[in-house]
Amino acid sequence: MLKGGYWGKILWVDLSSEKISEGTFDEGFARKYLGGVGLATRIISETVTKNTNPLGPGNVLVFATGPYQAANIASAGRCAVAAKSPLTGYWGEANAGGHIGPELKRAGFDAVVITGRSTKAVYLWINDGKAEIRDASALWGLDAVKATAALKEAVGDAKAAVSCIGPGGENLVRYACIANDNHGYFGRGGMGAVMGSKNLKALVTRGTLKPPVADADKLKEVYKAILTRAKEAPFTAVNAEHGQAAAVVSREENGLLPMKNWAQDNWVDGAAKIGTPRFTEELQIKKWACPACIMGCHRKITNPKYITETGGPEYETLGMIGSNLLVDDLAAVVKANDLCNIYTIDTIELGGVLAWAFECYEKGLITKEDTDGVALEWGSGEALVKMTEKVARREGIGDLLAEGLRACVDRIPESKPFAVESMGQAAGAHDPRAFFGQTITTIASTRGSCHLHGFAEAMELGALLPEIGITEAIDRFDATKKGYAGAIYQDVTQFWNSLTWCLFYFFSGVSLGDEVDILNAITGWDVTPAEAQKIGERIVCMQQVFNLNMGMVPEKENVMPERLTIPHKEGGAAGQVPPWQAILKEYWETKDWANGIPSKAKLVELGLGSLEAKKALCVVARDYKD
Amino acid sequence: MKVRVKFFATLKEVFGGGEREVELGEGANIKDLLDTLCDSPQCRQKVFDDSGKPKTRIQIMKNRLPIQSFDGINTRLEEGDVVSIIPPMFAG
Repeated sequence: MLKGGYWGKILWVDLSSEKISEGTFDEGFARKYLGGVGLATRIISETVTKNTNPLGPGNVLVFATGPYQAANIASAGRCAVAAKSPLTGYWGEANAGGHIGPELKRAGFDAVVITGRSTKAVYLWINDGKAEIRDASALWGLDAVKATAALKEAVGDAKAAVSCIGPGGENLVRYACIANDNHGYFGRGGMGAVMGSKNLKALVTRGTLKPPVADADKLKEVYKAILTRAKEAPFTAVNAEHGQAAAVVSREENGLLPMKNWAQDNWVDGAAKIGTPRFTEELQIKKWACPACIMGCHRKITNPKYITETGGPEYETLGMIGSNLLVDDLAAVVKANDLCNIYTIDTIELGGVLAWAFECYEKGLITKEDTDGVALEWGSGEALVKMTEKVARREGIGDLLAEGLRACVDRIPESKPFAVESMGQAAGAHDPRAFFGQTITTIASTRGSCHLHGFAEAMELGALLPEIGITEAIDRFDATKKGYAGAIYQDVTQFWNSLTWCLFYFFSGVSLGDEVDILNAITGWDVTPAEAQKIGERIVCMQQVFNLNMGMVPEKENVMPERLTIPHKEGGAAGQVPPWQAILKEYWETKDWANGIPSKAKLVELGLGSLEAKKALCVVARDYKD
Repeated sequence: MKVRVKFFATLKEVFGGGEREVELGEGANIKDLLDTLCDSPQCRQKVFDDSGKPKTRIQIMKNRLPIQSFDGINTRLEEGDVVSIIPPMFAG
């Protein structure tokens, strides 16, 4: 019996038949998959096959909360979304802050599973145990800001959480994101395009129900101590004052920042123009927090010269559409970021794709004839803004760029050496040549290249996991145990993404043990840190099996992009390249995945005995028991 | 000899500013520089671990090159060198 953290209810919505139904799950299922991406992984693994077109009605889109959304605690303003990615054809997942997580939970559901395709534009209105498919014809074509305002008005509740797409999602840009109240964004993997393909403009959620908590007194006690520690952590203060832009200048210095499509060594003056303190002073930045968060890492721009209705650029954005294009014009970066937000485009992917296009232009592989006269010159803020518009509308060359890096390379094969991606997804703004701990997340994340899954950079920076044996930081240029650490941090990341909580609190002194204490107070369980890691390992393993089912060949896909095998000549990571093959081998050995394929013994150990690699599972279940 | 030291992020507060010039004896190395800089228990705690070694999580560059490219904390310094010291910074 579920004592707290969950309703045990999943809302199933089939847009083709307009049928709405409810499924259930029991305590065994909850403890095995937790929620968030874990719950989504189980459901999608059972319903999506190799033949499923990611942009067809057969794809399954899951919005999922975890047990943390049952409590009004800092870091719980999160939600996960997952589907087969239209960008990669593999596992797709994004996690974001905003109001949708807590509102969905308070509306009486732990998750929403969306199947089929509507014949007309619709939105889904979920409110206190009820759900309704409503017409959105008048909203189709609106950007995210206008759509959000219109939807709040349509449901008559300004507090309703709106997760919607703009033209990027409607136009099936393969890396379209989903906007949460113009504040947080489900960025990676093209989840916005999946919504667009289903003619689903938005999810609007509002709830006033009180989710169960197993031991409220215990939660209060453990949370108070943890919160006190988090408030005193230096990272909390830095994040509150500057947000993530604070890292730009120091990362230019230590070599982590991508510059000129990852090929340039230094960019001192440029980093100073887009990073802090100028970023904070010039934009007159204020913090913008998710529900109950004490940090407020999102940025609200208040300088009337730059004012926007969406959040200001964060580190990944400043890195990918700023330094990676050598654009030091802060106004242009702010403008392009705002366009991405209102059109719903992932800024990381856009930065990776545009850096490829700028380099093609430099090498004469793309000319002005291809770009409708736009000069894709390094540092051009004008080109950045114009190309963002073209991608969102699929105009001219924007139609190709909207397909992602793999499609671009198919068109211009000689550009492959400088397409910086893994599994078809662009790398995030964390150069593994500067922190070898980023190797696994760059090349072996189950969702394609990313900066978060298996980010052992955290270990290198001293954010440790002593409860499960990660007790010391290892130098950033020392490859020792980096494959092992990548595996462990990947497990823990997916545990977090299933709770569903904000990993920034890990950097503010909240330990894995603390998170488990909160989980146990909410649920009434007795989970240990070791079990927490095992939960994460199970979820990662299921995602790997999903990818294998989709046809993935790990030895071909988990490869370091050629550009990142060339050492910098100067700068904070000069002369360094991670021995990625050795790190990958150690990672696979740690996982017990021979060449990336989980052993049968491992599947049985993780309670996944019914799964077999390369065998599609097509059992559609509505009521889960484990 | 004199070297210039640049502090980043939270270390600016710890060391009372973003930049400082430091006088060192001839033949001094990075370890000597850190010992000289950390003249209070608070500073030492930020830079050194319990065993007295500089924390591996702190990134140190000499003239914008990582000290790992030279001789680590034993890297020799010369007149006019610029040393950058970066504490752990998280962002994503």
